[in-house]
Amino acid sequence: MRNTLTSEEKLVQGTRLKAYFPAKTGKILAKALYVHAVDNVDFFIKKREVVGLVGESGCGKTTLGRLILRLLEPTAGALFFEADNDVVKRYLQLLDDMEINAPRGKSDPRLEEAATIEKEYSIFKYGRKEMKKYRRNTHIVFQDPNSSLDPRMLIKDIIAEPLKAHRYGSKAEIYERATSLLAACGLEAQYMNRFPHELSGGQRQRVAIARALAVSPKLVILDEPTSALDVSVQAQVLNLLKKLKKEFNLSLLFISHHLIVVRYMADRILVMYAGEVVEAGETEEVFKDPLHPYTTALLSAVPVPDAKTKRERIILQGEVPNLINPPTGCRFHPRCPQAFEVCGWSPREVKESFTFTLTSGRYPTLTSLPAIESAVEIDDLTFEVRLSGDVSDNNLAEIKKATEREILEGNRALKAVKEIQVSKSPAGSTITVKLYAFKMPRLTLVKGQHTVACHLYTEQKGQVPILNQGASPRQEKEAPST
Amino acid sequence: MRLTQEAELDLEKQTSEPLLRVNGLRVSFITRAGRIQAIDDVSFEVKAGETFGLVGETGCGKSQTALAVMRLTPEAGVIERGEIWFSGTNLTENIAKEFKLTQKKNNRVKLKTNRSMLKRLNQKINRIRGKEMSMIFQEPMTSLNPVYTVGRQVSETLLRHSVNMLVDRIIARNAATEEKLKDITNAASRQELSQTELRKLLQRTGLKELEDQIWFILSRKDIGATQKMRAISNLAQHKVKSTTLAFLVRLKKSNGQLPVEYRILNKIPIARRWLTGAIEKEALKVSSELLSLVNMPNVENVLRQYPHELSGGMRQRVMIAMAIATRPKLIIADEPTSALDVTVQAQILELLRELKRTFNSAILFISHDIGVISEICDRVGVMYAGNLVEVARLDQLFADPKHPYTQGLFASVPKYGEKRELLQTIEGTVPDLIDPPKGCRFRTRCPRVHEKCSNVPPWLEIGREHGVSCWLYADGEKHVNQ
Repeated sequence: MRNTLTSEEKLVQGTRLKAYFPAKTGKILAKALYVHAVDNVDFFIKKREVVGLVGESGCGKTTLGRLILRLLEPTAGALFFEADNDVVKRYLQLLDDMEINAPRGKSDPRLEEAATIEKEYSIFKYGRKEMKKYRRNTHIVFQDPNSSLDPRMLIKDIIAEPLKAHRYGSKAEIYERATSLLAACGLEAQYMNRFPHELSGGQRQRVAIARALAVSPKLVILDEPTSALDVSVQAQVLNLLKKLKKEFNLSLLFISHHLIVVRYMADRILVMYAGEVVEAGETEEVFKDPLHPYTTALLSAVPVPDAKTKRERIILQGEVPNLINPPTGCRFHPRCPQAFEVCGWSPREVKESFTFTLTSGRYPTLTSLPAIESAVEIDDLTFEVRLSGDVSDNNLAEIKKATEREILEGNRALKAVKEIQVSKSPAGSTITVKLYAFKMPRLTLVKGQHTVACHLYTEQKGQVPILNQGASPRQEKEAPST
Repeated sequence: MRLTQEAELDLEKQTSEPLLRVNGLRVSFITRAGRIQAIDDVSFEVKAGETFGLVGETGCGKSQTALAVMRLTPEAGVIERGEIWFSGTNLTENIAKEFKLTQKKNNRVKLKTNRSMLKRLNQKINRIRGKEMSMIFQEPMTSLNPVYTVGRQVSETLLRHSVNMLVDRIIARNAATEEKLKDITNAASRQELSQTELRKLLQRTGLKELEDQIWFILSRKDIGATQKMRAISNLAQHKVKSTTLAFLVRLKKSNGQLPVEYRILNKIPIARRWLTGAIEKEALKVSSELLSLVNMPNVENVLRQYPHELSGGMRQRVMIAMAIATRPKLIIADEPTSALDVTVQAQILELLRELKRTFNSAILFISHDIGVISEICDRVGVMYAGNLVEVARLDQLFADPKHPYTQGLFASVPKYGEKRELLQTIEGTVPDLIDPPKGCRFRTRCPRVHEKCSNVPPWLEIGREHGVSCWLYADGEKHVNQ
């Protein structure tokens, strides 16, 4: 990942961006909770490039867009705009270094150096004047043109507003520019003296685009620009955007949940899930050979307007996780059809599956087990199940067998089980279950420009046969070699 | 096996009288600006068990067609003429009289008259609406009632239409004994029962009415075999008091009409509770079965929750559960997935397909998304500005769209996997329906317009199950190659 981040002509580069929002708990003395809307996101946008940002609603797409505009202050992280490559490189080096060897105290020289770089280059540390300059470089087009255009302003004033704010020139010059912008966006001069409600949805979106281009920004963020439009109008707007991109030498960040449109528009795409970027790469590469299981499922779910080709569909189970308390490890693992040991199974998840296996009645040999009294999580990797009676060695073997059988039948949570032990006491036996340690997946370069944050491509899987007996149940396709 | 069944179904579809027949439907709305001709001369058929799609852009009249079929046209609108036949019943019997009564001289509607007429109409049509045909609305947040729990809302439909079924269930359960149920559990634990086998078995033991309940337990996927058997034998224990039973038996004898003495009791709130409590409880029970049928996780909890506590996908599942509660012959789905993410959309479409297979209901599926339409529909009608311009089988429509609007619509959607420089667009915008273009309404935007187009185009059957409303195909294929 690092070497792609430092290649030529980066316009914007975000590092370890985090945006947490405080969540209401309803209790006065409760621990403060945060919605992890954007978590540890690294990305970049090259000059004159269209980057598509895709993901489901609530995955943090819009939040990331607003961070780039600094409409939101981040919880942590830095964003560099047209910064010297060497500086950013050095900054990333420092961060990586500190991740391996944690800084000693506040006066660690590495911390200080990182702070000076941030202070000098990161847009989040810009002062008022610098910020005003920066605002000329970026602009945004919102999803709903009805609510993003002031209903009491004439079209010409809407477009002239950013020009006035940045002291573009005399009044005559400003309106002249507004007219030419409107013309570039395919609207005649007669619309200058109208109000937004007199225009159709497509025309309003054209006005919003003209306003975004007024101060000749280098980067325009398009937040679902065509979602509120009909298909025939959407096609007009998409064509317009392509044309303007060439004319104005723009970089675009195209945020959308509509994958077909993104594929049509973008050179490179970022896929987000639950606040994290899970995959990034050239559009065609990602669409043809998605690496992350989430991307695969997402792409397979796209309804294709074609009656002949019926594709294999991966239907994800479950719901998008709650970002107040996101899943440990890989955030996708509870829904991932290919999840395995190190993906981040917590004792809570495995405990549920395990006790269910014991009590479901699916395994006749387990019916002789004494009743379960309680199941307690001991630490991050262990939990205990207390039973009212004794568990014999024979029972233990049956439990192990049942666990394996469950894994074979697709109960993925049990894959994380490393050891099952039984300790006996007069009050009854206790089954202690130990889990494999999990890791956080990081964006890793797999091939070409294609990066993915998934253990399937970085970790050895199935190196330990489940419970030291039986065959490995996993049948995932092997990671393509790099 | 399945193939032959499907072939049979196909045969049946071709020979039988259509389930829904709309003929020459014309709906208009009265506004201050004038009369909006929202739907003009729309005719189509939906056969039993098929999925018919209506596709078109905003304001083309798709939703109004659906509402007219349900006779839910808002009071500012009137059905001017046309026929709607639903499984042998004419839903528009007095339409000419109704229309005449509501008209004022100056082209306005007598709103008051229309309102009272709608009331009278509702009394008549409520027997069909919600029972034989039901509707899934686009935005589940606005169509579910925020102040009632999910359980109450799902059981509402049942209490309105299926009291007899609920009473039957209670009485049947009361008649069941554990010995009789033992026969069934024995048979079921020996082998997997199919529904017909179960029916035969139940007829032999005299528990015919229990079929639905037992079949539901057997087909559950979330519990093991032992639990299923336990659940079946538990059925005999859910009994009601003898007084309640006596009431229920009388209620059944009088065909759902409350006997005189109970009608008096029913006026007293406490007595009413005593009378209907058992039925309401049963409705909740059926609701929980329905919710697990639509793959709702954690059903017992969801029943007690309010709509705002659920995610978008779960809300839509609640809507679907309500729609299938009475096993309607026709389900009208108005953009059921438009407010959802692609992955959730895929889940819901899969669910609709599955339910269609189980209940063999017909679906009238309305969407603006050609992709979604191509996923689920058998036949498709394309609407433009209140007219139905083309109807064809799905594969035919995609392979060979005839109407210029259909062609333009398909071309303006970016193709999956196709990288074109510019998208084809349909120039102009949808016409104002207060004063639509004379003749063909697509005339003003049509790339192949010619002199004949100022006359209303005839409906032409140009192939097997392929109809189009366009002058291009009127005299053989003369204009086609121009």
